[in-house]
Amino acid sequence: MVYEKLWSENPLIAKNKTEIRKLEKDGLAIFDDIAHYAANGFESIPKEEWDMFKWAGLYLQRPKEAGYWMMRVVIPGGIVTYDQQIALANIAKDYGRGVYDITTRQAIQFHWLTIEQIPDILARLDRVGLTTAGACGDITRNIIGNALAGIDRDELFDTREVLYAAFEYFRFNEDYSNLPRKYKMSISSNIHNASNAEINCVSFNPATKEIDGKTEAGFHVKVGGGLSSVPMLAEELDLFILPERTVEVAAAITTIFRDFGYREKRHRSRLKFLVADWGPEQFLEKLLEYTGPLPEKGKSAVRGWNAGYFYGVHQQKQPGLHYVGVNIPVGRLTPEEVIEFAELAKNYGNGEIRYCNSQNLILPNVPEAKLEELKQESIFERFPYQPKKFIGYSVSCTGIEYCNLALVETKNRMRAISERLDRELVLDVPVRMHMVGCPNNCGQRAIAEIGLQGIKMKNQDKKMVEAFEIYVGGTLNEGGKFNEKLKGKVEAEQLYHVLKELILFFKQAKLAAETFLEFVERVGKVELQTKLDDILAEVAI
Amino acid sequence: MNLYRFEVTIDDDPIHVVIVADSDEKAFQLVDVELEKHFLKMPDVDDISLYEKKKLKNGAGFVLSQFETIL
Repeated sequence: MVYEKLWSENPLIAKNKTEIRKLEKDGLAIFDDIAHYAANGFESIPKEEWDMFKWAGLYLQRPKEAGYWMMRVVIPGGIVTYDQQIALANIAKDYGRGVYDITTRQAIQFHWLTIEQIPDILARLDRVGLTTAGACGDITRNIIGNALAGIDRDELFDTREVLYAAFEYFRFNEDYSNLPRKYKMSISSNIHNASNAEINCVSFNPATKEIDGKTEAGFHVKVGGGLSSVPMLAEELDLFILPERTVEVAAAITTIFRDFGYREKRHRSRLKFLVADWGPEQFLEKLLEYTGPLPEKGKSAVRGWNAGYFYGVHQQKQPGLHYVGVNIPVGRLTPEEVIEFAELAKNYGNGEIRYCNSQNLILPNVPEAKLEELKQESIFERFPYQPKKFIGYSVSCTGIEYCNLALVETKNRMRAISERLDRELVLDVPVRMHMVGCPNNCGQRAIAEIGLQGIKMKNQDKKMVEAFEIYVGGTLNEGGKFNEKLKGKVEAEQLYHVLKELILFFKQAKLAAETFLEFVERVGKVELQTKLDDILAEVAI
Repeated sequence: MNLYRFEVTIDDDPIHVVIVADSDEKAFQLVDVELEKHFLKMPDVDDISLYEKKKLKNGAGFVLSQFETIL
């Protein structure tokens, strides 16, 4: 289908080089050029072409001139087969210096790739049915879903078919490969909001509705969410859709974004800006022009928020089968560990692994008879299925290791702090801590119970040091609420001590089974601030 | 080269300082220089914090609408 690029005549986009470039050449066309550039080396790639590699899931690591690429592989809904895991592990081993990262959108990332290696990597991915198309760029990104789709006792219905249909519809679809900006979708019927509905551009969330005297299971739809430096929570449309209409509605919403989304300025192009201006009512009005009449909202089936965590050994909806949710600290594995998990999945399950948006993984489809033997496997000493309360719930952005915007080291620091807290503190509830190295929210600081944002400052000795500000009380429960900053700056060297004291205060004052979020809501920010002031008075920078 | 966004607290009063520099270290040094140029009599500086940096290129900039430092 050829569509009319309604915005191409808009004189205002003439100032936007990326938009002009996208009109001249579709982003997905970069795949046709990769072989040529690989044969002729990095120097043969014109600078103005660098950004177009995003459509092939490729970003240049900084410094860009060094010619090393980060590659993101699309994993729809986070489900990978045995063969896919082996292929992915071998790419990391052969080309990616052994770095294998699970992302917060259930995808996989490699680092340190050179242009000469890309054709072989793409061929390897293609052989196992994987792609990098749509992993980055102004396009529908990896569609995230319930990591337990199809096996979940807490899902309204199996969403795999719908999610794959949406993935296939948008994949390499040039009608939707020139969107104003990145576009993030989730499709989940898990009643604990496993796919973080409120921070996606568009999310399909479980709901029921009485239609013709029959209770139908389907979706409610939220639009306009997203984090980055201006975080926004998605708004719900007054709409109920049956699963079989998901792709049609997703296409209509995407068409609205494509044709009416703002393109003049890249920093105001995300769907959230259009939704903020239109409001959910006007957005729905426009949507119905494309879809025809749709039922109004029914009853939400969402019963809380699990932040995508599925730790432990649990029964599936299929009698006699179990899944094991495993902690992968800050989402990083070696290729050898990936292969080890793949072999476990093959020997004990059906070879499948599920990646979670919490950067962890799930071994599904384990028969009852094999459970005890599986639990004895030594890999669980390193990657526990019953992780401790801090490391199991820690998230971090990349930090200064690969990101030039970051002001501080994050990934290793978050891990070290969490592991030490686990050694020295015992709690009856987990604490979700997210660490970021700049204001851009890649590590989803805004939704953490304890958010840690890196800054640099001069300490008492006039020495430049890494430091952190502390935020408390973020959640995506009941529509979501971003966390709030507490007063005070904590030198990185003191961060562990300050956090430990703050959490000890929580431990001593909390009610049984009360979470940190509930504690913040009960005692209030002022009391936490008072405590933090006392702690900081002891460790003043 | 980067564009840096600092907040400097002087007598319990935050101010914005924006610097161009090629390293974080250099940026901190240049904050001192800018303060020395700005104030005839150097005040006591309570706190110098770097909140954000951006690659210096056409379009790099910051909106300084509020302070991140809570006093």
